[in-house]
Amino acid sequence: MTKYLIMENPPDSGQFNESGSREELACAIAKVASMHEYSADHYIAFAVENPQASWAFLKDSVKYTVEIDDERVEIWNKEIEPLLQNAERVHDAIWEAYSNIFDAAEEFDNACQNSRHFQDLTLSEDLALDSIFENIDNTSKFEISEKVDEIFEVETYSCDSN
Amino acid sequence: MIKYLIFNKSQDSVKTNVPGSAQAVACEIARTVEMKGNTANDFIAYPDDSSEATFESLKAFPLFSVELDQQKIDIWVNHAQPLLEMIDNVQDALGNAYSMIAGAVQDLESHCKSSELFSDLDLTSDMDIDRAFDYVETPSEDAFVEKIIELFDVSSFEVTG
Repeated sequence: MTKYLIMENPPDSGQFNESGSREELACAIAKVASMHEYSADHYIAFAVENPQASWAFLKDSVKYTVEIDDERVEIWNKEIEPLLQNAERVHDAIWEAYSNIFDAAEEFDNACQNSRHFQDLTLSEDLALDSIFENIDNTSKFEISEKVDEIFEVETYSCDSN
Repeated sequence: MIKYLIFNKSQDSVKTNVPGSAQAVACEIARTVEMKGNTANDFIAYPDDSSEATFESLKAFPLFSVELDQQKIDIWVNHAQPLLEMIDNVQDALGNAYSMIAGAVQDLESHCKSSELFSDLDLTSDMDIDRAFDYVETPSEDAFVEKIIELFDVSSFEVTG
């Protein structure tokens, strides 16, 4: 089992996680833990024995630590990644549905406003679209994040300000 | 201004309203006001002082009357009809929204159930999609129909007894 230290990777750092590496996986886990839509290079990870990791500790810049071994890599690949993709599809479906309805209602409202005969009609307000979607309480990302925290023993070291 | 009487067209009738004619517009207005999902071709319209209207009235009561002149026909074609299509687009978007979200949620649920690690995870019970879409109302369709009734002097005839 290896512990990885994850810190924010400034855009001008010139450092990247090697594609397919465990450091890259550690950062993907951190992204799930933080529940933000960060880019792939937002974080950078170092194994705890790497001298850069000690330096990061000294600078107090560690955001997360995660623990990874072969078995956990397999869990990530076979179980968590497909689950995340499915959860993302739910998120996308909700967003797409919202914008399709909003756009259609807005088109109607704009046409009414430009019409001498139907100026007093509106649809967007009557639809109360926000209250429809408030009832679709999508907590899947939060639930998955908690499970990922548990499996990879994710420790959060400082408040993520982004 | 001509008043048109609109009748239900019998299934075996071969009569049709000439596309683009005032009669065709009258039938479009009738099916909009009726809100029962019928098409304009399910109706037939005649000017109220025509012999056809008299003959048709002997067989059945008219359902609606509509008053039209060229200006009103233009209002229908250029303003009301495009708005009607837009209301249909909103209804379609609402219908698609439900199936789009429900499908994705069902996939996520199936994935969890078939997973050894995540079978105990309850990711979707808070997502009460049915309840969410129960709240959907499109009162503007009613408001739109009221406006059409007002603009085109539509009268509905109810047969009682």
